[in-house]
Amino acid sequence: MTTSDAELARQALEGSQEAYRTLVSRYSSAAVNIAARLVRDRALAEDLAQEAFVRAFARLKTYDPQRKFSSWFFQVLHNVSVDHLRRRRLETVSLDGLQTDGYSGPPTDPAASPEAAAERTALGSALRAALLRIRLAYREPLVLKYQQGLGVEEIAEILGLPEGTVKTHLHRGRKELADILAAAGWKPD
Amino acid sequence: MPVNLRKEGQDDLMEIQGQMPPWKDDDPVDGAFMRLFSTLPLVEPSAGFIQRTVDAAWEAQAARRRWIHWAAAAAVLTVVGSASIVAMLGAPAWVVLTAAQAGAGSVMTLVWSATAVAEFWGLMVSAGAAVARVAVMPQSVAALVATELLGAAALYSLHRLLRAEVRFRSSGPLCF
Repeated sequence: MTTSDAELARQALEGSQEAYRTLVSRYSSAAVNIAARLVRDRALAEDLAQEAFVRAFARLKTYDPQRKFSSWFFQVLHNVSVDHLRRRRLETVSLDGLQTDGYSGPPTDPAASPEAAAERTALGSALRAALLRIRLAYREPLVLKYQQGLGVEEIAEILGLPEGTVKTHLHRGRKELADILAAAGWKPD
Repeated sequence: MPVNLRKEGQDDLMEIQGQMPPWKDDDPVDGAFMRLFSTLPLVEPSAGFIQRTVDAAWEAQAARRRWIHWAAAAAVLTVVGSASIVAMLGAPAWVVLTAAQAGAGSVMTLVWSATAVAEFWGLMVSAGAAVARVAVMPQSVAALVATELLGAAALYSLHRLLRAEVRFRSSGPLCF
């Protein structure tokens, strides 16, 4: 049987490295992927994810086991990322300047034709570049909702915003994203 | 070079770039965005990320504990050292005098600050009561409502003017 996150957090608090290692392995991919949507550099995204895990461990006493560990941890990651972006102004990128700097391709369907796979890769790169161009307040809820599949309530908890504000940001973010993609030539034939 | 999407994502983009209705849960646009985001390049943590992270967390905790121990030891040493010196040499008169003066000065400053805050609060209460007396008069209420209506009308007109301006600017070249 899989040990719950709350139980692993309790064991980690008592000094079990193995328990914390399991927690880190459960959320490392999500953390790095979320951070990678907030900053341009892959290595920096990894650093932010690592800092979030270190900070989360230091504050593990404040974690309430009644809450979902993922929400609590993503909140820490959000704080770490915001702190970083406040220190360094957010970099913006051109749509052309973003290709394969250390990123693997999107998940591909082995049965898809090479053209479809190429289009999917190109769309993924364009989407990633477009995401980096919209403001952080819209980008974060979009990533949490559509990349991580979280609900509005959980996103509101993570970002410390009212649900209505999250819905507004999602709506505006979607519109901005669609506009940027359209301006980059991503229109239906 | 921009690539026009022809196959799997076409319907999603048509849905996304068409009429986007205000937010509602589980709408079709939501599903389209979910599929669109599945094309994002995945970022896998580098090899050894998990072990490095756990090591960093433990090292940070050890450093914090070391710092706390050093700070506690320094505080104890300072207190014990000062107490020993006073016990051996006796407290000089000027130390006692300075401490007494600082204590008395602090109390006086506290009393003066509290008095100033209380006076300011009383003044604000009087001013608030006077404004409230005037505001509840029928003439004042009528004047206030009229001013607000006038302001709203002015804002609405400004909004209309600005929208007309934007439409005019984005309508493209008028001749040539």
